[in-house]
Amino acid sequence: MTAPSPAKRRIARGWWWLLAAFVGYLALGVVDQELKYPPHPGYVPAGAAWTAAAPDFPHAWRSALAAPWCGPIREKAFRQLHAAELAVREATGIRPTPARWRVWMGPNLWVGVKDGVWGLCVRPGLLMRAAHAVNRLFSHANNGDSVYVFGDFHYAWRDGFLVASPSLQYVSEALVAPPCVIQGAETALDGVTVGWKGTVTGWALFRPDSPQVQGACFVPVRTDGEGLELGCAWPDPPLFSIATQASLPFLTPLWALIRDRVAEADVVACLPYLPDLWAAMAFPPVSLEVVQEAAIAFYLNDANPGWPVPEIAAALKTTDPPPTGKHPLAPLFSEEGIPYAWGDRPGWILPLWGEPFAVCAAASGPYWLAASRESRMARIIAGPMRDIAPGRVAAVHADWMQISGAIQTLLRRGAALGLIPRRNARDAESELIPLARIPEKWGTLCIDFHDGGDELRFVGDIARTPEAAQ
Amino acid sequence: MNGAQLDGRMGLLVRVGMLIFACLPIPEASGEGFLERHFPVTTLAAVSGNGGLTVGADITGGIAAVSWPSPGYHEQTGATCPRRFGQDVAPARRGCLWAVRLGQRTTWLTEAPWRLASQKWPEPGIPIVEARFALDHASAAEAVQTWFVHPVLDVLAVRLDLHGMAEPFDLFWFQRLEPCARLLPELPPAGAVFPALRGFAAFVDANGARLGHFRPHDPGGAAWAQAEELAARGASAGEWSRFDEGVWAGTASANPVIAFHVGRAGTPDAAAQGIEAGRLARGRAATGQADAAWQLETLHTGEVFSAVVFMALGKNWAAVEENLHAATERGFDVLRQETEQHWRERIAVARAALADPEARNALATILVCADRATGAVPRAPASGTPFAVTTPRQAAWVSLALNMAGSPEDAGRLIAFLADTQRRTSRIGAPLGSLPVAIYASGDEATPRAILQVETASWLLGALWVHAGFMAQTTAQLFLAEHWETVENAADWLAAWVLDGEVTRFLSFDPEYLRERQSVRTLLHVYTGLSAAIRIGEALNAPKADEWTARRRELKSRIQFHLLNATEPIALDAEFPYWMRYIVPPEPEARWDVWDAVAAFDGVGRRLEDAAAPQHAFSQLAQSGRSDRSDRSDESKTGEPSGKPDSLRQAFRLIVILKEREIVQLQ
Repeated sequence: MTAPSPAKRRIARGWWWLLAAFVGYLALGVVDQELKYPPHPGYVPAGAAWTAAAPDFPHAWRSALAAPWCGPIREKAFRQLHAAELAVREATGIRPTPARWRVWMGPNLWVGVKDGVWGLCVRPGLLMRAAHAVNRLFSHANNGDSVYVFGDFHYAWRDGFLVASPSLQYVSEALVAPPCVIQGAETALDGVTVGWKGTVTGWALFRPDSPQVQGACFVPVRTDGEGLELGCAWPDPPLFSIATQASLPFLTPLWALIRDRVAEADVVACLPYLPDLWAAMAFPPVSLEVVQEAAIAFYLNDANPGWPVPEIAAALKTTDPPPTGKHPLAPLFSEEGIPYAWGDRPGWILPLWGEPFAVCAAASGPYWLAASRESRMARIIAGPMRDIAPGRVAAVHADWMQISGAIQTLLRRGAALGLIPRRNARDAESELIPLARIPEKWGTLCIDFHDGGDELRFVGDIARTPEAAQ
Repeated sequence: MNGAQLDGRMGLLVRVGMLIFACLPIPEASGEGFLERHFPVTTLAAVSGNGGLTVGADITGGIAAVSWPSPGYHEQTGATCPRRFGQDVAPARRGCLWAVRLGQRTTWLTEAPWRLASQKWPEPGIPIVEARFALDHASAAEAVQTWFVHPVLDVLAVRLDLHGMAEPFDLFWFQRLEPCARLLPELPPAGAVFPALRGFAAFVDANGARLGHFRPHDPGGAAWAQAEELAARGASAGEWSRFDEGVWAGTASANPVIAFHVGRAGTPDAAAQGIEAGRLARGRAATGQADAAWQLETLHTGEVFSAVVFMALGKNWAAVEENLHAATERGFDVLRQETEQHWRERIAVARAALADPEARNALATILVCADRATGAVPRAPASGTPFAVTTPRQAAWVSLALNMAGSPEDAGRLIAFLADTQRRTSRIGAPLGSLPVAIYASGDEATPRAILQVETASWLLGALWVHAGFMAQTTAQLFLAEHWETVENAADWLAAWVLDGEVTRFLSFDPEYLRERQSVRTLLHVYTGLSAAIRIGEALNAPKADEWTARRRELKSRIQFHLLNATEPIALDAEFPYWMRYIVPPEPEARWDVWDAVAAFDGVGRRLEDAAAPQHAFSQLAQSGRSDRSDRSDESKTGEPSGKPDSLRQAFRLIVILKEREIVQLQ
């Protein structure tokens, strides 16, 4: 047997190196994957008001990029997206894409918001650890507690997790927090789950490809009868509508939340106390205890010269229904109401502030109707369509096209009056109006709320196009 | 977007909604409306102005308000923003202030250990303000701030004299302006809301001799970026002056400038912080909400140390420079003499010149409130409150006071302004002949169009008739003929309102109830308005008067019906019968005359005829000029009787004083 020639030996040695590199790559890949998949959830500071978790964030990101509803975002917000991408690139040196995120950060992501500052937690692989090793040469731990600095970020390692935030306190708190668990939440590989705490605690799973949302609020629910009878389908599609059973206990904390927020506002704090305003109007007392269900629709009439005029319509199911019963708002009309009729439907009008603001009341089938403007009542006199769904206790609909139009109107009006910081009408037209047009073709937002025993469960579409609805 | 930002934006939306809601009622129908019970009419205690630039001091003695180009709008300091309405003490460190550094401690004249001892116009009828401050721990030390607005130049002149200063001190001038050129139609707080949207840039010129604050009209992102770039490199005044026209304020001093600083207000870099530390860092410019300061070398004569500052406002830097140049050339004393001369001449043509000092002050206050461009007289000038507007009721009373005081030209301009705001075309919610409930001095509507108040047309008709009553017959006929179309529009609308009343229930916006409501008070106002129109028609032999007479007859029946069925006397504005006296003639032949109606005045039932009699009417008018809650706090702090810059109250005072004197003369 002849010995291999030197050339062959060199080739063989090359193959061995290649093989060794391949084996090494596989080994590192296995280690990298092992490092990236965590044994338990990551860390956010205890008591974070908002928490978001994505088991496969790059997958959810890619799904969003491919989803039709994201098309307008890419098209109309390209400048903002590009600026964000550039900012990330300048901060990290890496152009953000789903693939790069997976390579550097791993698939898992937890984001927390506490006291107005945010931070994230990921489970990176070898590459990030190597980068950290290099960074350690140029950075040093803060105060000896293993929190490092990279650019504007503070970061630290804990059990293989990387916690990073612009806030040192956020990172420090995350290092001593228990693993992040969003109470009662469901997860999906292509979704992002958001949990929140506060007056009404809950969670929502957002799936960007559809896009759908489901979740729950932790409030006790009691279903009256078969389920909600009034729906959100009005003869004249509203900008926003809500239908709900009056017994829903979450309405009380929600109202408290809104009231507190209003009271906190600077401008409101200096205004006369709201009950004083109400008392000044000297209306007779109105009891809504007879109301079992209410469907409320909001419109924005921008045909009005000057400011757009909000319009409200309501349908009420009561224990004292028409034609023999009494309208829940009847006390308002007893002395000052003007008898009126919409077609063959008799009713009343109580003018408050000219033609655009009046209390109008009438009946439609088994429901009582109310509206804030005579012309609005004329358009909704047929009332909302009956829409019974077993177990449903509330429903929310919004028309993205109308919302987009309303935002555009307000932006244009605000810009003309100098009410938009650092932007005039030209800036608003070129920078903000395109953003306001993003949801134009999203169709409708439709979310139904169901009785879940100790929780109020909700599920629905964020952007249901007419085709999808059919 | 994080949660806090989201909450902030939601909060903003809610605030805007609440603000729109809260701004709906402008007190119009009653002497003390809902808003007047909850807000001070003005936060200012003293004013000076020339119908364009109008400056006001609050109860601390600090110059808190600078309004330009009109007494009614745009307030340039932001010190009177609604967010501070609930507070008794107006905010310090805004507007224009003096600070004295004694040893290692900086003291502000508007704060302890200084105390405002008095603040007034030393010579009645001349709007030159003198504020005396005493230093608590040094009985001999006194600071006297004298300031005024020149009648022709848009210049504020301020002089500080320090007496009895036993130890060496440093003197600082501080100014924080937040230029604003925004007028929100249908929202009375106008530019005062959204304080974060005020201001643009402040700068100092090369040698620190000029401080400038400005905001161009409609600045966009490019303008902001440019301003930030100029501020970063401390650009020259010449570079700043290239910005567009808008609101520009410049300050110059007659004293040598030792040090200066321009900084971002509310930050450690702020000029106010520099004054606190006793050292100005020579910052040259800042964007956004900025403040500026000088350390001035005082000039002393004997034991008195003095400093003089001039602030000019204009639409661009060239106009500001021109005014500053004229002011510094002439000097404080010459400007003061010119101002005194102007106001002496102005008051001299009026009957008030013969009357007591209070009448002169009342007349001068009303004239300071008057917009030189349009003739409007906002109720509370240079104020960020919802009362920096003109309402038909207030305009009617002010025009009466001006006529009585012998200033018919000013009254005529005000009435012409009011007549011009009448709607000349019919739209939903704004019928032909109606008027806005409140109007900015620019003529823009200041209240939401949704609010329709039928009394506004009545006040206009009444004001036209009453004004004509002060003229010679031929001149009056010419005047009325000139306004005949206005009279027709208003009276036709009132007549139609009466005709449709059976269906529409005689509804009109009632500021006491913050909504439309039916009331006998409204019916009486419309009756008065139609009476004025009928008398104008008769004076001009116009055929339409018959139709209006028929409507007035129906209205009279309805008033009688309501009063006969009323369980208790109707509440009526205290001063209203006195207004009716000028317009509604008694009908001695009639079985029931509207003058026989019994109404409650401050809880006391009285026939209208009796209520209009001088002994009652004048006491009611005097009460209508009574103190509001902000007055009471003023008087407790300054010990001065109120000379509030409230044109309506000053009109009442003037009428009372002049009529009382007339009665005395007759006796």
